[in-house]
Amino acid sequence: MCLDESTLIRLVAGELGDEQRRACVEHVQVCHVCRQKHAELAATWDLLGQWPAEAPRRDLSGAIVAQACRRQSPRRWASVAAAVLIAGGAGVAAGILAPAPPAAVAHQNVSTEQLVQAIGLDALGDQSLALAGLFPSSVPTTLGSEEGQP
Amino acid sequence: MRALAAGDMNALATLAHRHQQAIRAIAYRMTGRWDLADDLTQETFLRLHRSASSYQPTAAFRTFVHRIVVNLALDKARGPRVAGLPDDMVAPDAAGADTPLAHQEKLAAIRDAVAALPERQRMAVILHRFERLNHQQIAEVTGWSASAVESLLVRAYQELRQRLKEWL
Repeated sequence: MCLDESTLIRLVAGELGDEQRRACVEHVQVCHVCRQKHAELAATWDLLGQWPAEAPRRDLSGAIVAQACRRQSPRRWASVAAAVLIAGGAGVAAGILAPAPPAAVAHQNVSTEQLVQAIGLDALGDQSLALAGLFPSSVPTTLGSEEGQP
Repeated sequence: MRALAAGDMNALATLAHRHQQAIRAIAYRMTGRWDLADDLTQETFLRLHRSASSYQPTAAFRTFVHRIVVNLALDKARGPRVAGLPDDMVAPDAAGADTPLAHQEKLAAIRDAVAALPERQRMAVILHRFERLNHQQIAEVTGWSASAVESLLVRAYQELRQRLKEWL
């Protein structure tokens, strides 16, 4: 008796247990009709597998968190956004006014949490975490002392 | 999810970071457009956020997230049809623009054949072939009966075999 279509689909997809699989394979080998159907299904399965769905690389987590904060509490979100703008402006100003770093300054990566603390946004509590997605996971900066000095 | 329910937005960022690519892939295959896929992905995690406090870990977390995106994507598919973008505005598949023309044509044929399936068949095939969920898992994610899943998959693969005949 021929295998039903659903069993053939499970066979191709590797969903059958060992015993059932063995029985089906044995049948397919001797039944011309099932062999033909199995071959077509397997070819379709393989062909579909050639369709990739690798997105143009994009991390949505920052946008998701920002939107969740906005929906949760629009007023608090506005205060967080304002704090970001102020902190960003201060950072730019500090960058302009600061003297050029010495040539041998050690570079280190600063985590998002450190950055949030450094610009005083941790005072906003949980909402400051919403900013995590707005920064890269670590920020190369020039904190630290000159190489070779304590 | 416990941390998220307690208001820890870092937990949302972590979950989104970890699962977004899988969710985007389902949404893309269902809608055929990356911009819509991004919208559905964001909405999936926003719903996850909203439901965090009532979340019961009775099913695997992956099943829970899949369930959200499946419902959103099916709603989208049932809604008014979105006008397609001109070809040059549709992001190329990962195979890229440098691949031979024949291969591009083959990918387009696969994409069109899947897009032409009725929405429930399309979703069943996407979960089965691309997400590698078995019949039982598809039933859990979609809420359809096991026999409905079986029949949807049989009809979908028959249809695909027919439409893709020249590429087999």
